[in-house]
Amino acid sequence: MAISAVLFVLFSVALESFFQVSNLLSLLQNVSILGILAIGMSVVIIGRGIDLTMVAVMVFSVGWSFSMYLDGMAIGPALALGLLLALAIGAVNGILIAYVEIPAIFATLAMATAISGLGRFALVDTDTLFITQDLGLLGQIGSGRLGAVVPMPVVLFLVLACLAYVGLRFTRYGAFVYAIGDNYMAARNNGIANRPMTVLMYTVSAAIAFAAGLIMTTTVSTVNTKLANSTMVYDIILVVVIGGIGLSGGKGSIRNVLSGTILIGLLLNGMTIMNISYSVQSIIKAVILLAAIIVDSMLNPRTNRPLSKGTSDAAISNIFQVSREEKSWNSESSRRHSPSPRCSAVSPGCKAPRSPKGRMTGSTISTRRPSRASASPSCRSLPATT
Amino acid sequence: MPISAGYDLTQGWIAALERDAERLGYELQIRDPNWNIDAGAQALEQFIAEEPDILIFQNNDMHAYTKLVQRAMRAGINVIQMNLKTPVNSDAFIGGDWYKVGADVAKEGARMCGEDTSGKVAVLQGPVTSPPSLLGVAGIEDTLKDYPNITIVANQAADWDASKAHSIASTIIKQHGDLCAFIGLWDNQDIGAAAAVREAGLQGKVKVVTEGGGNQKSGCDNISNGMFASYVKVDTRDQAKQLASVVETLLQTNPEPGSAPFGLYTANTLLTPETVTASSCWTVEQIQAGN
Repeated sequence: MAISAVLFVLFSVALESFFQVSNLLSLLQNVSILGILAIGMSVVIIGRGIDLTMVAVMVFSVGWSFSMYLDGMAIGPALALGLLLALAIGAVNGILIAYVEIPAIFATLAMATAISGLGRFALVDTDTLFITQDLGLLGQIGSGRLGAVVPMPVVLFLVLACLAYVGLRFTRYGAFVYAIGDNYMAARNNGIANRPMTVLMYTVSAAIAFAAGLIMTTTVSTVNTKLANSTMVYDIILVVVIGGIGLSGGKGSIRNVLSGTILIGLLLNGMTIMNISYSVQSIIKAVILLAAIIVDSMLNPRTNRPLSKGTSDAAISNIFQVSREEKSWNSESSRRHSPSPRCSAVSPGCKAPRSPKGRMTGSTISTRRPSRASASPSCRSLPATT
Repeated sequence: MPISAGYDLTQGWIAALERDAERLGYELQIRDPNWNIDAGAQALEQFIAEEPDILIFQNNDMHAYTKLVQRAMRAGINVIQMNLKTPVNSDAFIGGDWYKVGADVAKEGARMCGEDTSGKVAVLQGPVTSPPSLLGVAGIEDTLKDYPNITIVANQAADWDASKAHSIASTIIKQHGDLCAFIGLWDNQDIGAAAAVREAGLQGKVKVVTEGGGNQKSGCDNISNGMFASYVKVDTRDQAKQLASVVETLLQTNPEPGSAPFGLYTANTLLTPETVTASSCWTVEQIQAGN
């Protein structure tokens, strides 16, 4: 955020026409698709995964919808089928990672290639689909303006960001995503249904990719399936990482996505206004990505994470302790989710609650959001049995 | 082996070859590297090993396949280069004269931005290493030297991507409120710039001059609805006919590879909303049917 603020001030002073409302709205509009995709990616990365299929899912699910639409199908069913395809791909991604236990980077890399191949072979037979028909209200998703001022892609980006913020911060599933990302084994040992949750994470990112594709298509009236072969997915990771979401999972929030998106928007807008050449732009972006990853590695060293090593009770106790400190969960909200004071089941004398599926494990603790009450003195000192 | 079998130009060429393959009884094999240069090089190597009579390929980059072209000819294979030529001559080149395309779009930009305008234009190119970008931008810059009232205020690469062109164009419009025209080098990409112009409510004020193969949907439909103010057509329909004829000729004459190289440079045609007609553009179905 600080870097963004410095850039903003610099550009405002140095670049003519930068500091005007229309340019700033345009700046936001130009990165809103990237920002939306970064929301989906951040959900997965917080859950200690990565989704390299997002761009392929975006272009081929929406491309298939519009391909069917151009062949005569009504737009509603065509979009519904495209969304179902995206959800199915997301579910397959999740199953490969959670149940077949393929590392996320390899599973989604292979799936991205498979989706591109399948898409070109069976779904969309051209690289560029031109939507020549008037889409009516649907067209307003990409090209409309709220109050004749704010571009709709910006509005939708903010709406999706709010939804993701609420989902991650105020729901049980959001807490599970953080828990899984923080320590997979501890989360599982504490009764979280890790595998279905992983499938859900990838399904959510695929649904968000579909939404981004729909907005992009209605903005420029074309579907460009060539994007599946582009480096756009790295731009998405760039936004997430420079926003400050650690690639090692369990940390970060949608606020990080917003700051990353704004920083990239400022850079792109400034570099375009300064007419910096394409090659130099690539160098600048790459240097920033590398710097962000280096900073991320220094702040979140992977070799020094006790939580990643397994199931020690100290680690288990730590998982929600860390969460409490870092996320500053709202106590009121916590009470809603956790009506009665609970304590950790790993603490002696505490009764272990059932997991959502009613399954008990030897070291199960509450699968609900940890409340301040659970950190009561009697339950705070946990045995360090391993 | 095209750059990709999935876009209007290559679909047009393939349609003509498929028609002739059936009519004349030759076998046509197509491998699609889908914009990937490495996959393209592998496909070419595989083709060279299989020793076809004729190898037809479209270059993705100025130099990427140069050595493979030489190897194919040494292996006794006649080689046709499509649209984007390598520095090596082969039996035939069929395609656009990209420097002249650049010069023609620049002239159209200059025509639209005469004395009563700001004379400010912005150039949108594709990937900087692709031949149409390299040669086209050179043609634009050289030509605009003859028009002192024209100023290039931005020259940006949009990677043949409409959404990227949209982002760049919308920023440039905000920075230069009195911009006169965008000069682009491919209709598939420049439709994004046209969308940004329309979105800003400047359609008619900021002109979009572009180039393309004359496909009905990407070309004529967008000229008719005012998205493109002027369009330099490098007719794919003409190229498809020439390609089919050159294949037919080479199969009959079977010359020593590279012994008599020649080039068939596609003529440029100007289309504007005033001059576009029902037959100005083509569809793949029309080419398949021989129309």
